[in-house]
Amino acid sequence: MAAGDEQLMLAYREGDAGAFEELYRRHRGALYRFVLRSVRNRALAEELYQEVWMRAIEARGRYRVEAKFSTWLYTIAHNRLVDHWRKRGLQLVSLDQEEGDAPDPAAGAGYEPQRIVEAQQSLAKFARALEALPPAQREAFLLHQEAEMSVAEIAQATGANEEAAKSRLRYALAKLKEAMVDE
Amino acid sequence: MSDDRDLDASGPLAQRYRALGAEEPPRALDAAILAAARRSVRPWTKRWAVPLSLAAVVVLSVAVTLRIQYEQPDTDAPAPPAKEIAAAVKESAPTQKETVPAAKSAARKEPSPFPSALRDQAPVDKPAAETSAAAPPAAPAASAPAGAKRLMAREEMRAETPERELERIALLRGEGKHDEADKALAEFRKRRPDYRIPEAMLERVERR
Repeated sequence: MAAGDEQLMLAYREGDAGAFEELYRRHRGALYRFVLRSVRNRALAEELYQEVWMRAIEARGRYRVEAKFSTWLYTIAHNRLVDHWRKRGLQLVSLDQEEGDAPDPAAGAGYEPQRIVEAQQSLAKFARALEALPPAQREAFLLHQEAEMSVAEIAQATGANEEAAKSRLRYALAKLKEAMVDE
Repeated sequence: MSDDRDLDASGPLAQRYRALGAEEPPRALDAAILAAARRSVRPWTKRWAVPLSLAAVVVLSVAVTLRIQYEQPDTDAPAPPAKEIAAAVKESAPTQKETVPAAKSAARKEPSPFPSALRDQAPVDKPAAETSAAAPPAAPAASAPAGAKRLMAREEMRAETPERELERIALLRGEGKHDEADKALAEFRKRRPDYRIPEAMLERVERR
C-alpha cells in the first residue's frame, strides 16, 4: 500500500529525499496547471511554480500533519499568488494574452475539418471564460478541478470561510456553464 | 450547489476543463526543484565538508609554517658570539682533552644515538658534537645587550633537546664542576628515563 502524502512529507522532513521525489511526482502536474491557469503566462507560471516548491522545501522542518498535504501545498501556492496579484495591483491578466497557446486536444483522428474548427472555437471560448473569472473564483474552480478539493478544503487553503468558498465556486461554475450553453 | 453534476469529475464541465490540456512543468524545472530538495536534506557534515576541509587546510598550513619558523635557526639574527663561546670552551678543553680525547672523535663518528629511521623523526637539530661550539654559556650575562639576550634565550630554548642538555653537563664536567654535573645528570636521567646516552657522551658526562 502506497504511503500517504502526509507520511511522505514527514519522511522528507526527517531527511528522506526519495519521499519528496514521490510527493513531487504526485503533485507536479496539477500544481503546475493551477499556477499556469491562474496567471496565464508560461514564464511567470514557471517562476511561481518553482517558488512554491522552494517554499515547501524550506518549510519542511515546520511541517505538521494538521491537514491534507495538498491543502498545505496549495496554501503555499495561494499565498504566493496573492503576493503576485498584490504586486500587480490586483489587476487581471489580459484576456488576449497567450490566447494562441490554447491547446487543441479535440483535434484528433476522425474529426471533420468543420468539427475541428468548432471544437477549437468552443474550447477557446471556455478558456476565455475561465480567464475572465475573478481571481478568487478562478482559484476556487482550479483548486476543485486540479487539487480535487472539497469546498471545506478550498476554504482552508485560501483562508476563507466555507460560505465564501462555496459562493466563489458556485459563481465560477455558473459562468463557465453559461459559456458552454451559448455555444 | 445548484447542480452537483457541475462538481462531478466526470460531468460536462469537468470534461471541458480537462480538454484544455494537461500541461506539465519542463523537465529542467523538475530537475532543479528535486536537486534543491536533495540538497536541503544532506547531513550538515556533508554540506560543510568542503568549507571545513578548506578551513582545516588553512589552520594546518599556518601551524606548520609557525612551527618551521620556530624550529629553524634564525639566519637573519646576528651570528652568535661564537668566538667568545669557543674561547670559553677552549679554556675548559684541556681537561676534556686529557680525560676524553677519544670520546670526542667517537662522538663525531656517531652523532646521534637513534637509528636512522628514528633520527629522521627526531626534531631537526644538529648533532650535539657539531653544535657544541655554539652551546650557550651556562649563565646569561646580566649586562648583555638586548640582541645578545634574545640570542641567549633562543639558545636556551634550543638547548632543551637531550643532546644539548648532555652537552651542558659535559661542559660542567669539563669545568670541574662535578657536583653540579652529577646533579644535572641525575635530573636528566629522572626526566628522561628512556633516553639511552651514547657511550661517547656517557664518558663525558659521568664522573670518572
